[in-house]
Amino acid sequence: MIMDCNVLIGSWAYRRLPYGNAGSLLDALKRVGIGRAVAGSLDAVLYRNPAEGNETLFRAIERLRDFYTPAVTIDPTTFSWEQDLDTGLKAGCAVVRTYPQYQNWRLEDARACEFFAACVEENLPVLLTVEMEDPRQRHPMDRPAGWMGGELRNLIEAVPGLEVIVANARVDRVREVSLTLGEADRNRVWYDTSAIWGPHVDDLSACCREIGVSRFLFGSHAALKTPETAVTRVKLANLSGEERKRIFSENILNVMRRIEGPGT
Amino acid sequence: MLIDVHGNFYAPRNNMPGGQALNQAYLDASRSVGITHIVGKVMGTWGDRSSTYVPSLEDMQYGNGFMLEVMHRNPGFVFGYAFINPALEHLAVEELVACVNQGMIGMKLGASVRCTSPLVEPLIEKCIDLSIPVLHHILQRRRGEYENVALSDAADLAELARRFPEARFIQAHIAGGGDWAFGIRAAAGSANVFLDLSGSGCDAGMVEYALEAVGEDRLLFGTDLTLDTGVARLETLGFLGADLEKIRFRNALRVFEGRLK
Repeated sequence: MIMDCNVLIGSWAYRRLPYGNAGSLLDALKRVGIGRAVAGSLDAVLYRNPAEGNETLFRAIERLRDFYTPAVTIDPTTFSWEQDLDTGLKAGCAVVRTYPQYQNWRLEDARACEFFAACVEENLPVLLTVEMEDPRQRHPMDRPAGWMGGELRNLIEAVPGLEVIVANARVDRVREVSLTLGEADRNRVWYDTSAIWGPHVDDLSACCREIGVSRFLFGSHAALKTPETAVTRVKLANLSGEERKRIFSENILNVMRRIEGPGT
Repeated sequence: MLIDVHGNFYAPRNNMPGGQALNQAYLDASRSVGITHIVGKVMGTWGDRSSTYVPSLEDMQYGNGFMLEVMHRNPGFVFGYAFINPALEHLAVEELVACVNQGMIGMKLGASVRCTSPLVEPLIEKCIDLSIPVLHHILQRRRGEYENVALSDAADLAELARRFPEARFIQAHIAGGGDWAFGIRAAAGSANVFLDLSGSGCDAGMVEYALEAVGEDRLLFGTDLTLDTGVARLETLGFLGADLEKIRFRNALRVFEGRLK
């Protein structure tokens, strides 16, 4: 079974999405063989208070929990982030999603450090989305802050036990993070496959050789991106059947340990 | 049958990351997914000696010479576009004719000048004479200017297509970056503009939009640098109920008027 660590349900301010609700997205994911997905709220990325997006998400997938595992979105600069984390835990979230570049905070902020330490305390990994949209085709007003590679490296080194999934990162950023960390720290970072080019350039198989296949999780970044491409990329990449299996499901279960349900 | 209308090869001198190793990777990957025909091009030295988009005469000829070599090494599988810098004026037309006489079946119009420039017109007239299509690299929607390239956008190509209704144009890579909805809308009203489905972008909704706006008769399978995205777009089109035979090869056979066998 294919497990998708990176899907988003909701609306995006800058364009209409073909499958923006939980049911239509589920159909789009299932038709390409995805049997389980970890879903965050797309609305929460730009809401002043992400908790409102989380609430909508939790309601939307309430009856679809045999397919979706929720991810809670947290902005640690909000007054209620501890409550949001607690709500996410009670809702069965397997990961915390963060968007510092879209919510105007830094990974090195004091409140952020407290928040990341709390995630470690709760044994919850953090998913950091590098960018929501391909920079070549963003709306002119879609201008997130720049990539925080140096801060991310410092954060991982500064917070023992913190586990980070870097999502929708292009190959140069995957290499930048991985190759500048020490070996022990490197093993606390994973990358989803949603922005790494497949064949015939095949950055995906090159990354697996350089960094290790255990570091890569299947992610589609749907509903912003098409799941067809995400699955095809892994299927066509120059990887063995065993490596594909690890990317498609086994590695995800190693880091998102709270995923429950059929197939797990 | 599966025809890739947007392939790339790299001559020994090139400044492309991955370089010539990509040639074999592309051929192997193409065969593995069932591509039966590739129509490719070599863009000079890819910036090694002169600009990728504004190649010198020497580099343009050097790249086209290598493209002919690839064609001859892969008969019946690899076909070629002549890569042409329109700023070279009559020398550009001479190079186009020479390439077609040696077996190339299309022109890749370089982004050396904007496609609405009068410098382009003799080349389009020659393509009409030779009955070959024109592939043009475009930025979907131009919001500024860039160094060492005069990028057209889809609106410019639509204007060129309006001026030359007898010519057949392939608007490159709907997923090659930029505002694809703008690019698709701009092409929608031009019956002689075909959209190639190549490009690394994978926004949800793009293929649906293209099918609705342009229709299955003007979509062409293509890969550019990422074969996986092209293959995935065919899958999406299948889910949408499109006539895949048209997109896989029938439309391309029409565009290349019998030169693909």
